Amino acid sequence: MTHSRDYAFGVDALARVEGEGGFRVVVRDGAVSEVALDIFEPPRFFEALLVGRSYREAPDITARICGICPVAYQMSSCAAMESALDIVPSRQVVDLRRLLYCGEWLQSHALHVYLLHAPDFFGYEDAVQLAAHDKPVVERGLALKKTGNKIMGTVGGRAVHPVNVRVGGFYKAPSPFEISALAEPLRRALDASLATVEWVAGFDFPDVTGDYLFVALRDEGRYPIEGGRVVSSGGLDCTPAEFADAVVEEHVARSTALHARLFGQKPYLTGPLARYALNAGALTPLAAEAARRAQLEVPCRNPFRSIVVRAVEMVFACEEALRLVESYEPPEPPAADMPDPEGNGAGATPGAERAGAERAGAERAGAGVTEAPRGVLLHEYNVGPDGLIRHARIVPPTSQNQLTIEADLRRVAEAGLELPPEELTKRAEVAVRNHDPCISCAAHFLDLTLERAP
Amino acid sequence: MPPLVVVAGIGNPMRHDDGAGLLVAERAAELEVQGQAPVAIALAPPVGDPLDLLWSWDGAEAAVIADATRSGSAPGTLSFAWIARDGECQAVLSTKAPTSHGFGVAGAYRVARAVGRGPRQLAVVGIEGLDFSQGEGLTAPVAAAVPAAARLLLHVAGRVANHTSTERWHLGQGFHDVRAPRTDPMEARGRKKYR
Repeated sequence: MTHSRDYAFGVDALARVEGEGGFRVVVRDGAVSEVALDIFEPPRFFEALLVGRSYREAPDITARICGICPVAYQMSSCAAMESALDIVPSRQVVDLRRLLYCGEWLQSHALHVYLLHAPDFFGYEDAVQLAAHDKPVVERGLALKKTGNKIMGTVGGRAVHPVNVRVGGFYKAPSPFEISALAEPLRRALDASLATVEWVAGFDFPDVTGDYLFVALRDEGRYPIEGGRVVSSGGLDCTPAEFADAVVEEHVARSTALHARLFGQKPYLTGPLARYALNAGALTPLAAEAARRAQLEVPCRNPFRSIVVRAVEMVFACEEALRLVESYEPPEPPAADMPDPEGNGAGATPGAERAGAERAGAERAGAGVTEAPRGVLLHEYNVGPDGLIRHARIVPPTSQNQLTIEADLRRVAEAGLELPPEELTKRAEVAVRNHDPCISCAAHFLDLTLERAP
Repeated sequence: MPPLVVVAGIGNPMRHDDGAGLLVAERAAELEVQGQAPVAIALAPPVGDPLDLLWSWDGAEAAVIADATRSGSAPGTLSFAWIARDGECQAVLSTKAPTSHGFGVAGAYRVARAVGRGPRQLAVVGIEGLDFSQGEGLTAPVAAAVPAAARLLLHVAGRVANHTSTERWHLGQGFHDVRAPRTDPMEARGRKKYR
């Protein structure tokens, strides 16, 4: 096939909604001159909506930002509010949150591994073709996703936009009976996720190495989910509040997206590759063993092998969830009491009906960071003495990864300039998919456009 | 006794008119409680990720979806299309690859059928939206069309439940029967911008 030396190609991320774009690579004089990824719409509406609302509403409002990972938004929101208001949730609350979050990791990773990413490695158009060739495999993926949904339904009240989460804990603690009913599906899911690691480890991976600066949480020897310090492969080790100061987002003229940099300089990568690189030693035993058998190196810098890391994290999520199910004690009370900001004794407002902030004189600020399935999710709030939100800032993983994904795209485009544009377009789409970017919920990769520059 | 029809609304209530499908499904369920439905329906939990329809569809022979459309028609315009008849996907469905982040209704149905799930009869009732930007509340013309959309949905549910593949449909005055539309409403609403 012949093609001119000047051309552009891209994929329009066809959206259910306004605001999303796609990616575009422009080739001039046989060299890549421009790479632009425009798939992410920052949650500015939600940030604006939060201002003037009660701090109590933040978890439920922000859960609406994403249909795939509502728990992540709730958890970062709670973490930030609790930091602002000096609320310390009980160990039982933290454990129950971790269990809920394991459900979200499981359903999100199962969706991405089986239905979105795996077809790329077989050259299939989609999961339907994969199912036509290997129905049991797709059924296994769906069963894993269903187990994740079941955890979210049991702990969160429902699987879609869980309603049981509040600042300080939960509205209602699930009964031990309800939680113990999760054990059997989780044992099956553990077997299925171990089989998943074995399956994806056998895929053919292009030999690609990304020069990534990894950023993830680190949580006192546990694999990080709902909290911890923010660390990087470049030596960063800071609190969520310090991280909030370090992350600088800049507007880019050609897109509506914000590009995040650390201290305004370095692009970085967050998500499974980063979590694994910085926390592999903290994996649960079966997950660690599965990673070893899959010959997953630490750190893994091949973005295509992120599918193996996700599979290993599914094993971890099942193991960890099983541990939490087996040791479950209902938090009593289900949510922490709000402290008295004037020092009149902790728990002075039983039932957590009144915020300490309501009687405090000054504005309180807090930042919270948790590990969403696709990377660190930062929330930052200022709360006034009346308990109303004065300022809200939300930095999702995809806006942090945007520059790094563009760098991957450029690498793929430069390595494949001799390929027919159609083939190169496919490779570029896979390069984007490696990082499972969030396209503001429910945007579609439907139309492929190939333009030759005039 | 006629079979139970699973009714699901799809959309995001924080995206203005994108939430219309959810309200249509809820309104239809209210009308059913008032005895105004030709067939028993089961209202599925609100759906953000269409793939979650797989669990709502479990065991159902027939299902109807309510969803906002973006085809360029006047806001509030109602439409109807088959997604599947007798277990066969209709030509109106997109055959393109799914998204990088989730599935559309069509993709979810095709995955469901590929693993032997999903209702044999599946139809969608569309309600044309105007504003899909981030924010709460429907625009006035779309909100005004919700009750009619709910009645259309129940009518379609009755027909879907008793469907035979040769049956002619009579949707009544004012409704468009778009059994062979040029575009899938699911897809059309997103395509407008990029066409």
